[in-house]
Amino acid sequence: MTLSMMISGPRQPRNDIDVYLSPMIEDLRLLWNDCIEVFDAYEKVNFNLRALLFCTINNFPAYGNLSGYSVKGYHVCPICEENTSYHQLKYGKKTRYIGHRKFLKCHHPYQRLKKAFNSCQEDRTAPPPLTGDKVYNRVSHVEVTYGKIV
Amino acid sequence: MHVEKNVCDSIIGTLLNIKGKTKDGINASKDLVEMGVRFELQPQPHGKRTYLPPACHTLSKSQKISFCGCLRGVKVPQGYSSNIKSLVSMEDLKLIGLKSHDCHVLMQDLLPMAIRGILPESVKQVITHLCLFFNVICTKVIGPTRLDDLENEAIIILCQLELYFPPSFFDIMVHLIVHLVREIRICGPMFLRWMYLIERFMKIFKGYVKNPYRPEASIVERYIAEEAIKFCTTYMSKVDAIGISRSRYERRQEGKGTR
Repeated sequence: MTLSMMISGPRQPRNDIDVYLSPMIEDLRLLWNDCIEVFDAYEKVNFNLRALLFCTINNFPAYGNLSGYSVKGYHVCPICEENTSYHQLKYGKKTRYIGHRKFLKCHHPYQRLKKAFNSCQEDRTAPPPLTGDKVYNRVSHVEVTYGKIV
Repeated sequence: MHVEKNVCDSIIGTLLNIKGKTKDGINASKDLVEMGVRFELQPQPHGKRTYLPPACHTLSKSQKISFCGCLRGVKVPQGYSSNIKSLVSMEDLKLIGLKSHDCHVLMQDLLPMAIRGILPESVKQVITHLCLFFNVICTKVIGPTRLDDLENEAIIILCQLELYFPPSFFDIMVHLIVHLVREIRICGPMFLRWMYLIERFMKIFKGYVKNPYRPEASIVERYIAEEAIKFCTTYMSKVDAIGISRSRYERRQEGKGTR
């Protein structure tokens, strides 16, 4: 099932996105708690249909909206998190994310080069990505008030 | 999807030195000096003016003409992509009005062709490898045993990009290339999730807007009208179904001609 929706307006909805998502939540609740009876045309029998939200596909800014994760600033990468290596450019006045050498395998020749990269050797290792349990522990204490901000 | 599109935009902007889109410039050179690398690129004051030495990715005017001329001569099969020729401006030597699917086609096939023989061997190799990487992860069949190699390849490509391109090139979209292979491992092949289909469909919606003050309402109105007509035509015999129009060349293949 694909749900297509258009959120209008010159500004982002922020927390008010709950208002737009509430019809979908209602449907999902209905489809999960008390399932509905649907006719299967191939086997010619009725069956109980249940549905759940499996995954969402969105672009990077909308990712911040939906998951509540930061998509700007220093710790911007949703997978590296606090270990995102950033560099603030003094003249360009931008934050840039260089330092991909830490993802290389150990003792790769690139890690010893200085002048070619950022004038120092690389001794960091790639951060381990989050697992499902870790994410659950982190978000289980989060308290959210749903609905429109008045 | 937007990773590919944004990386394509910044590569083309930097190569062709398009004003407003290029990641290179006087500030990028100053930043390199501040980081303590590539001193040969630092800005040199000549009286009132400042001279910026050409970097390895800088194209001369004749090279830009060769780049744009290659893209202008491209002919593709019907329905493969939009008309690439109309995107190239030979007067300003830049690409205008790239849609996301155009960037996809450029990145998959055309960019490695266009940079042949105009860039130094090393830079050309990195960009070609990047394009090949995107080509491989977009294939319909991808073996799980290949994923480890692909992940290492993506990291090495990014390190090589760091060698040749200025630091201002590396925004978050370039960084996210590292994690693309991890996504494939978790969620399956890319072509199922990348929304080029929807993005192309947006163009159809955009055409529905008649009253620019209320774009959403006119989209809804005309979409419902079209759906109603679609429903009615199912009850009529001898009527063509509405939807994607047939190409004129298809009829010629059937022997009917275009006129």
